[in-house]
Amino acid sequence: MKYSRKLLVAATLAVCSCLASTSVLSAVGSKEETTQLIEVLQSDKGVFDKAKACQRLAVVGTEEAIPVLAGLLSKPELAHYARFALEPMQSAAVDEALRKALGQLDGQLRIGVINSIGARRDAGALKALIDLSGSKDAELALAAAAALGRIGSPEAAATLRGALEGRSKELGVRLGEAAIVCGERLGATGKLDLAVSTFAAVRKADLPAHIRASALRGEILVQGDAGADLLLETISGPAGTLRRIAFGVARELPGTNATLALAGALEKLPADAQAQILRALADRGDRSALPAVLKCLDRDLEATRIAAIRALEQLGDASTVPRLVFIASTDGAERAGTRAAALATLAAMGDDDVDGAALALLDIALRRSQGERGASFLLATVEVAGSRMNPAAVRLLKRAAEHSNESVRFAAVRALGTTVTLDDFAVLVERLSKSRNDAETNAVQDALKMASRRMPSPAACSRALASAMEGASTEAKVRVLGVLPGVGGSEALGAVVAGAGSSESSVRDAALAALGAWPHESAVNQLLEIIPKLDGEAARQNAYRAFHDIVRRLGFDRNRRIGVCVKAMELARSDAERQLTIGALAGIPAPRTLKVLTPHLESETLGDAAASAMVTICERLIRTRQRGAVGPAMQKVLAATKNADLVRRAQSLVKQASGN
Amino acid sequence: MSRPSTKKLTRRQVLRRAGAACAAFAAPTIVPGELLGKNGGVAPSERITLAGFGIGGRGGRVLRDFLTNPEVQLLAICDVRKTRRDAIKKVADQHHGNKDCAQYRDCFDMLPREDIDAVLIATGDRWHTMASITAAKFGKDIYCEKPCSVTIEESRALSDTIVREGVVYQAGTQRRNVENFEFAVELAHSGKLGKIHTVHANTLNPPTTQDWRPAEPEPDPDEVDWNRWLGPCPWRPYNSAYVRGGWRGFWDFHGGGILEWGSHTVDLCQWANQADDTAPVEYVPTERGVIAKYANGVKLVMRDRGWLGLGTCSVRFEGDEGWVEAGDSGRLEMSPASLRAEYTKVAVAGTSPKHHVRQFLDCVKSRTRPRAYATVVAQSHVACHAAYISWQLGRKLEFDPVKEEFKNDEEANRMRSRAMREPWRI
Repeated sequence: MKYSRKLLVAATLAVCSCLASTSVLSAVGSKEETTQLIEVLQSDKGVFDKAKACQRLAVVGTEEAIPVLAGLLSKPELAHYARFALEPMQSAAVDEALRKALGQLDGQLRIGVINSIGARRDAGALKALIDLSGSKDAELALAAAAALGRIGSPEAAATLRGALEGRSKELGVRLGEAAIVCGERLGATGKLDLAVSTFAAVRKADLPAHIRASALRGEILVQGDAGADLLLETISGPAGTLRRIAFGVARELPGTNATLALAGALEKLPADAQAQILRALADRGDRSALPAVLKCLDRDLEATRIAAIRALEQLGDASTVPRLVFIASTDGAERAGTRAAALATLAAMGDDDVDGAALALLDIALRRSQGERGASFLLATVEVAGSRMNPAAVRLLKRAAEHSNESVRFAAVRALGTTVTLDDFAVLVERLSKSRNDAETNAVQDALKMASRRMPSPAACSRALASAMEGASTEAKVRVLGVLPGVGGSEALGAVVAGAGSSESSVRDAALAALGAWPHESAVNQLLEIIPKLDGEAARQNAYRAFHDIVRRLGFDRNRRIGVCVKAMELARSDAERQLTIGALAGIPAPRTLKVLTPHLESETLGDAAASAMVTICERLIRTRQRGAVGPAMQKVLAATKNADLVRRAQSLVKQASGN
Repeated sequence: MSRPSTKKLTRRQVLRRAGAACAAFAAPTIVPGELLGKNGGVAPSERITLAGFGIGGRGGRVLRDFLTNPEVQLLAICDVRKTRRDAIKKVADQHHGNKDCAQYRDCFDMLPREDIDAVLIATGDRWHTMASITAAKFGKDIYCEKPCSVTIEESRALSDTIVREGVVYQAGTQRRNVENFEFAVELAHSGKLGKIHTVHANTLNPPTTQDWRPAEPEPDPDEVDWNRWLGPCPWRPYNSAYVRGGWRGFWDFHGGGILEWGSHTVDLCQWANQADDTAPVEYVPTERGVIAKYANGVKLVMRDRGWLGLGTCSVRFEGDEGWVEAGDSGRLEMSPASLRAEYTKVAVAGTSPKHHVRQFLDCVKSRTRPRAYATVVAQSHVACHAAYISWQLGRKLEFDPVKEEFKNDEEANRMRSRAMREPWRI
């Protein structure tokens, strides 16, 4: 065993190789190591050591190991390990050994050897394999057929074609697979006619459709341009597995001739095939198909029109933008699909000239946006500008955001969210003051959030928002405060803290809510500083609610969370504030929290809240196997509360804590 | 041998799923109302019938994301462990309100069912290629957890078979459909980082062990079918820890720390380098990783340390005018900071396969190729395997990504494949 551990290390670490020799095998490993490994194989060591020796020989074994390994091919517990070593060795002696074993073995061991011969593509075993492929033992015959397929010689092909006739359905499937592999090999070695006839034999055989489809693919591709006829014939034929795979082949068959053949056939294809071929033409990315694709934009069938529109993502350019925008501006529920497809295509087209074309159309649309049709066209151009995130569109989008049509205004606001820079933040804040209803205000706030997320620096974004807030309406300030938690950072926090000191109650409450939603624990300290300065019960309760929210939401250090809760409890003036603090403590599952809560069990007004928090904490402690503090704490709860549900849960926890 | 395309990811394509274009992106695949069945159900013609294969912890998470899509119906579960078969059947039957989910121990009994459209494969790594190839040969569409292969040869066989059979395949490398990673890749493609010179992939410490756990008595095959659990891997004595997930780190079952995360992060680096159709040509091992180089001169650094703390599976793309780093927290850091102006997404964890599963289902309907198609992931896995071979041998290796051969290093070439236990073959 000790030796095998050395082998183990050797197999995963560097080895020295002698690269000076001329034959492949002698360039591998070292004779010395091979000799040592052979000694292991010939010793009375156990299976593990011999298995590891074989696996090491697979990498470093020299010619000397081959006869020893061949001797293991008949040993059931080591036969696979022997093949593991032999299969990758480049040596005629391995082929000879495997061929010899073929005649001496039977059952699974022989199948293993056949598989190795197939993996090595040993044409020298052809005759034996051809004989075995006629065996009445189906597994043996199929293994031989698979090996013949991998060898891929004319003789193998002839054997497999012959075997395809007069066999059972299950055998046919696997023979068909072998013949297809054989066809591929023939094609790869330049025997094209033989490859075509081999594929065709499978395609025309009485076999399941997916095998015939696979053969069809090979038959088309191996013919190159000449395969287009069979491809179009299949695509024009009945729906089914063969046609389905032909749609895939339409993407694979190379060359402009194939593109033109497919594009030229579009009009004559069955309706359901048109969309598939349009998608295939898009994937081919060959712009010679563009005229045929553009023609399909006028087809009656919606699926064809949509596929043609989507194909323009790959095949279109700036010149196709007006047509797409027109489609995107078409009203009516029956046009929803094409409208959406056109917008998606316009958003995704990659050519930078498309930005210029889309912008020009937005400019035109703004100047001619009278009437419903005009508004629809403008709406489409605004949506395109937003989806393409083109900062050059901001100037025009600002104008669109003032439009009388509500849909246009909303779309323009959304588009500003994806296009503005820091310099333009004031535009969106101004829009908050000009909003005509809550929905529009929400849309503007969402746009501000989107814009904030895009900004490179939270500090600069905060400054821009704070600056925009100066002189803004109360409603605008409230909304901007709602955006700031998404920005984060100390500057934004400063702006929120300043808001909490506002004399306007709605601004102050929005700032407190923003502190509750803050993404970092730094806001907790700010809240504790703000609370003593607040007058009025409502304001203090809002502050405590914010405190509760942030402590429950952010999982910062437990001891620190408990500490700030203790501080909040000291600052509390009412039971409502204490209850919110107890609620925050309930989310901190630690024995120390139980100690903080225990004194409140005696309180007439807070007792049940404290008991409920302690039970909740103990349930989590039990789940995390921290039983120590649970029993005593629950005894105190049981002594203090009469709430039936809490009593039941506390009793259960006592039992669990004692291990019952 | 089929190779993937290397299309650029554009800002607009990243945007398709978010913001203003969200509804439109989904438009081609929204099931029209008239096709819906009664009570808001999905019409039979729109249904995608699914079979599960080896669904455990991670698989269960992915399965939940499948089942949140109303058109998905889980018809069958195949697992060598009875407890898992029972657990998934319970999930399926409760979800669908029936008793229809059939249980199988052997995939060859399940896959011939013609009423199954697709399979979700979430077995241990050793089975991923074999299960995918077998399912493809039965004409099933496939969502398979990563890693997709444990050798270079398996990667190639997987890719060739999936293409040959014409089935839809999505590897569980879901970060190709998680927005912060998409955005980082788009920045690399856009030229806004300048000429990309280095891509960094967060990988784990590489080693595996050749050891065996102590032998335990084999259980009844109906409870745990040890022979099928091993599948194509070399035989070793049973130990219950393996089947409870303790197979990671064992060389026979696992591709090592580079592949473990590299199947995600090297994959993203390949994408960023527009190298989805190739693999690096040079590999130099370091203490806990590998530094590779592509033919276009871009360096790929596989390392487990020195990240900005943006979460697991981080990637970093560096150009001569800027850089971007993204991780599983959903966050991004970048330089210059002005690049952030185009990022509009809310952080989504890199572990969420929600969009990735949805894309797979859309592709099953449209018969198009998802982002993590077999040809793409085969290349990124080849890169990881080649890197690990270099690390195991402890020397610099040169690699021909077209022939998928190491240059002048027979030992490395022998490590490209592993003979399968009889009667398995791919």
